[in-house]
Amino acid sequence: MRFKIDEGSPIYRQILETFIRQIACGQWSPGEKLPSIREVAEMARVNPNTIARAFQELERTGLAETKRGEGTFVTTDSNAIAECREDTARQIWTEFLEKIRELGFTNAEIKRLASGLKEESV
Amino acid sequence: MSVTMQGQNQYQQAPAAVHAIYEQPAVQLTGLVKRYGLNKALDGVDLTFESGKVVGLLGHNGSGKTTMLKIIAGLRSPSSGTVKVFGMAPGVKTKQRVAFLPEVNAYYEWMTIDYLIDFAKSFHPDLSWERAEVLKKFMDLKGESKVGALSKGQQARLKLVIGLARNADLMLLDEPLAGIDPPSRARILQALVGEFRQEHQTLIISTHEVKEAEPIFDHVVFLCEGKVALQGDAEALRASTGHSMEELFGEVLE
Repeated sequence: MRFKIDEGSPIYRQILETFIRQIACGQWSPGEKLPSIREVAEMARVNPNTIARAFQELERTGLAETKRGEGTFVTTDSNAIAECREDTARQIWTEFLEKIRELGFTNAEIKRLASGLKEESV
Repeated sequence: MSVTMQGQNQYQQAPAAVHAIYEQPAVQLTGLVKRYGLNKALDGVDLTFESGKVVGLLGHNGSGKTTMLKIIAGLRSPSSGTVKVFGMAPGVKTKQRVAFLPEVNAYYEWMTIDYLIDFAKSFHPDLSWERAEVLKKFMDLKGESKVGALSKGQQARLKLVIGLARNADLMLLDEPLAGIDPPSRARILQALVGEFRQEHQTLIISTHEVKEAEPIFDHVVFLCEGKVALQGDAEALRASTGHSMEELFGEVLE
């Protein structure tokens, strides 16, 4: 596991987003045990208190749960994971739209581009 | 019956006592001034460091970082102001719980690493051989190597082995990364993060090389000419300023 950290914004949020994206794309399967706070802290060379906060927030999203004395596990609730996947896709889509609109693309042009991409990949 | 009662009472009191120790700030500095002749190394510093945190003490050479650490360690006394470590004035009692790792190496060159660890254990009974063994391996050091034959990076790693093997409640590290090769720096930071026990430990790390070290800080203090230029929770500062601690270092101190 590698973490790319931008020190100019809160680190716990970046760790949180890394896990959310990894769970969304199935890198961690439902019910799988996540590394411990200390393991993540060592890998990322980040303060364990910061990692603990990221884990707390991850639990609040419902994507993971901590079992006392056992560790943190990815949820087995497939709806929650599906929802997270959609949310992540929507987030990426919004970021994409912002960037492409900066280039002056209209909705019609974006649609044309999207249909072109579809044909290319077939 | 009375025995059980007594036992219960003791049991009930123990957690409260532990709690009280934990609630106390690790370090409290009030109106701290340190003069060297006409120079003021520290010029009215008020700071409180909570227990369970990693504090970055950031500033250029000569900003007062080392003086502050030495005062907290009980190696210097302030010209005025008060210092409290776990609620007590620095002295014999606090020194048992504090590990100070100076920037300069004070180890005898003729000693081997294992001999040195034994030697350190003779005046720091809290030093754990098991922990020292694990840390030695992690830091890629061999017990039979002579201190005098070690590179600068290896010496810095050795200092960390001895400091961390003590598992002291308060660790003061003066410039643990200065002038050390990047692989050693990475190792040191990884060991600090891996060994830090937030349940009882507090680390205060002085450095002027902020970039690599900043993700390990909970709290940062920017020192400039003996005064606190800025301090706060690192994550809160990132959120409110949109800057890294390295960028703030440039803005606040230059």
